[in-house]
Amino acid sequence: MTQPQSQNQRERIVVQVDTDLKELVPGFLRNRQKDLRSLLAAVEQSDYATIEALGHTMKGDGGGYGFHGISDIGKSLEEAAENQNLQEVKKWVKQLSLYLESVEIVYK
Amino acid sequence: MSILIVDDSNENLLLLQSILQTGGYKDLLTAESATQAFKHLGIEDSGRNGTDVDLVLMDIQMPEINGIETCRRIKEVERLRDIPIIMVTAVAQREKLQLAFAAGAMDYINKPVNKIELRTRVGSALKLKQEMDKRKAREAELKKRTEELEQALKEVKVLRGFIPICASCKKIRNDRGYWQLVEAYIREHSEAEFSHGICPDCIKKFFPGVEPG
Repeated sequence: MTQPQSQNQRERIVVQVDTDLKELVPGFLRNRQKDLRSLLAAVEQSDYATIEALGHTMKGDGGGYGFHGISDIGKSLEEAAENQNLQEVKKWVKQLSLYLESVEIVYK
Repeated sequence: MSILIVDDSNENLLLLQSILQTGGYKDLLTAESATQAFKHLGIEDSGRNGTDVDLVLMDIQMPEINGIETCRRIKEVERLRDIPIIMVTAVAQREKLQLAFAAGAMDYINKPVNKIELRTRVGSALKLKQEMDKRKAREAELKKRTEELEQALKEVKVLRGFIPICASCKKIRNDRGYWQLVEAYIREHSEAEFSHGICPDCIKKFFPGVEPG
């Protein structure tokens, strides 16, 4: 399970991704940025159904591309939304934001 | 050979497509829902006008109609029954695998998908499908041949048993009780045809002045 980082912890998160997926990765990360915006909007409205659905999709998709951190965050978001725990949701949305800011990709 | 990938996540579709394409599988179809998959397969008209598909990769968790139900409905159609279906499942959904196998799935792959595992399992499933297709073609050919033979046997006329024949004029009493010329009787009961001529003895008897040729 990925642990939340404090704002001071802005270490680069290095992720190794298969070279075969090089063309797909920018689109994948752009879509996670979109997810982040959707999540922020959903948090504003306490829209747990949307948060749960987005979390579930992130959980399923992240690992396949090599972004296991995204899968972990997605899983945590899904669980927090299921429990209607807004504080937890906010924590993991923040964590997603940090992850996307810090991720560095190495193709192998 | 053609592979249909069914997954409500576009990201997963792209991922599986990419892994399979780089693995040499070029004939790929995608569907973001069960309904789209049914359209590809032509399930509404029992698969008669659908695209030929040799393998289906099916996500288990999908909105509306899930992967297990989709699998079950595909297997209900006789023309589509032999298409192998591999379920793509998250570890947390493993308890659903039993239902998937009961619905007709032949194998499963875990998410996150490992590209070597995916290509290997797809390769095995396609090989199996190819063997099944060959076997079905052989069976169809054998059935056709058997039917042809049965039909031919029906048409073969056989002469057997006791045939009542007149000791003097050599007419034969047929099944209807009439005395029939021997050539007419044989013609009726066999594929034989007669060409008429006169033997030397009969020439001497009926045409005494004519020398036999």
